[in-house]
Amino acid sequence: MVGFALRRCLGAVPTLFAVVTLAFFLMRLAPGGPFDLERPLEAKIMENLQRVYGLDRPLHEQYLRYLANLLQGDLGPSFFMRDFTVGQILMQGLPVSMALGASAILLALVVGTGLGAFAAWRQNSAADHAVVGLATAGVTIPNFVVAPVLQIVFGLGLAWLPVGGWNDGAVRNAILPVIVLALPQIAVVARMIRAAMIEALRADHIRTLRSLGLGTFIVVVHALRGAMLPIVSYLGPTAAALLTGSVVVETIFGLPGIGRYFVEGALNRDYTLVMGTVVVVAVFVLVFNLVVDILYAALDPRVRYE
Amino acid sequence: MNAGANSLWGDARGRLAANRAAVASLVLLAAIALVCIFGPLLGAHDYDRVFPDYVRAPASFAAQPTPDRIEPGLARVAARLRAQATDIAATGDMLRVTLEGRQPLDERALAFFERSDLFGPANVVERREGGRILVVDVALERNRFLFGTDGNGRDLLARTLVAGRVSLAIGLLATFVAIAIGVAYGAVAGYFGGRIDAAMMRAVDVLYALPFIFFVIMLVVFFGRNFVLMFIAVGAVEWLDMARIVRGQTLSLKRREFVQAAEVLGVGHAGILARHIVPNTLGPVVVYTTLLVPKVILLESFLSFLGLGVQEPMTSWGVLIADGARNIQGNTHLLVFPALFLTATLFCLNFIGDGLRDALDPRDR
Repeated sequence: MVGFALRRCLGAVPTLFAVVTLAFFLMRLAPGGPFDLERPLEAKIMENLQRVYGLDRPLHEQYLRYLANLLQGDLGPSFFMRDFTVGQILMQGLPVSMALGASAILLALVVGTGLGAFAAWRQNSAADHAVVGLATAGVTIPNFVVAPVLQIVFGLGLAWLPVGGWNDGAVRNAILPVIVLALPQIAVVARMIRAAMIEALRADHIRTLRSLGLGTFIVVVHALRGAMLPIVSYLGPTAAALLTGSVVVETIFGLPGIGRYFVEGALNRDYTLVMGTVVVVAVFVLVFNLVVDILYAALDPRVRYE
Repeated sequence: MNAGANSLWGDARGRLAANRAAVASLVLLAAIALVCIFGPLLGAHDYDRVFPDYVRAPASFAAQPTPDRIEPGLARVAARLRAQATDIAATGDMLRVTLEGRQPLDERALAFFERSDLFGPANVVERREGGRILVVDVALERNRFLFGTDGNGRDLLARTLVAGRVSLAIGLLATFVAIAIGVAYGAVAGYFGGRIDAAMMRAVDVLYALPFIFFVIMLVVFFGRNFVLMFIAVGAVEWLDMARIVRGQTLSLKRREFVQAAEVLGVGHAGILARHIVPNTLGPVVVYTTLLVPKVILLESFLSFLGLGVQEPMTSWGVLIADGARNIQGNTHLLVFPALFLTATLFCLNFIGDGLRDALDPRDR
């Protein structure tokens, strides 16, 4: 299994390299540059700026230099937030995004599994239909509708929770964003668990357990084990996306995560910041794909390490 | 079940018709589409016409101007005439007003009545004291804003319907682009297999690992905020799943007897792909298409929410919702109506997609 994990890790390196290369040249092909302001800078100033950041060199040279720095863990200085390196910016934002994302995933797993299992156990009852309806609502209502509504109801109307802000990670401030992040995932998890549980509850080994007179809880737990498999493969990419921040949620609630840098960086042509976010996301996606593969093999004995 | 309808699509149609949620969704979706397409042609207002006197009017069935707006409106027009409005008497849609100034009034300035959104043309009934006092008849200009108006005084109903056209058109066009690329790419990769397949699928892996927002924003940056190119950009991002699905189908299809028969008969690669592989992947493709349309509409509204999508005065549901979310305090109608249309559409598409999946693949129920 260690060999399998190592081989998959090595396999991810060329993908990461390709992602970095593609992103680098895509970014550079875009019209405009980081120092193009509404009022153009004087030619001499522009020249000096370009030289300081190495933008006057040929593109392939800049690319090789970027790769060399990247290998040493140096993501370079930000072009737009002049006093910070990209590493510092990401290190400030990433913990916020990860804390929110991890809480949302946990919430989605617990609530989604509970709802899904309950609906499957009572298939075709009113409660089941309610869960399915709620799940469809959770997938279809966009988060930029849910977020302001929650802000109005719980922030302004009932005044239970703050409308926005991070406040150094106070739990009260995190509740609404985490709920908004988790809602669509709860919906998806509940639907998947419900479908898989209905199948699992009909399986032979579950019928045996039932005929042996075991309690509801134990039967459900056994059925859940098989039903978790599709969730694992779904959660991989989802976790990568959630942990690296959400532009909408961070914008609406005014949170200092890294989600907003995707948009800001690209619009400001902050080349290094964009590359930094790309690298972070790519690493997360690749790592979680790997984790999913390993978990899959651990959960399902039929899957063998090739 | 009807014995005659035993083809795959015949069976599927029967099962879909028996699915009440899917049928209701189809009807509702058709209704929304028809209203969006033809509604603006029937409606009284253009989506970009500004009514400066009705900024953020609430949604209501009552015809504007409501009684409480008439007096301030009259006062505004009278001020332009350097006069004061007194003795206001309303009969139906007509007002009789006495205008009284310090000096004789300039009757050409009565045109200010017509320029306001509240009144029609004014007719002088009586002149007193050498034109210092005028008695005029003014018609009220009746307008209805069922969904209210936005922050610029534009009719939200007209805007929501026009936005629906844009969002639905983007959804369909971008989905078409995504399906076309995905099916072609997946079928070719799966059919040729081996190294070609490995290389093509590795490229898909790379694109998967690129942050999706980065990709979309780069495309927007390249193409500018252009309407049609936006569709294509969104479509060009969403084809990855389709390619994987079609590749998987193709891998199993190409070993089937009818493909071997076609090979034996000397049909070329292109012929086999077009005649035997692609048509047989249609079931999953159709299901995925109905589920992709809502995804694309959501993506479009997400981009518009960030200000990268459709630009004013053109509008889409995403633009309207973003505007509504910014003005939610005290002006909930700005969020509620576009959000209702958007979520209803997404709901319908999801139910139809689920229904189609059940109809085309009964094992998966």
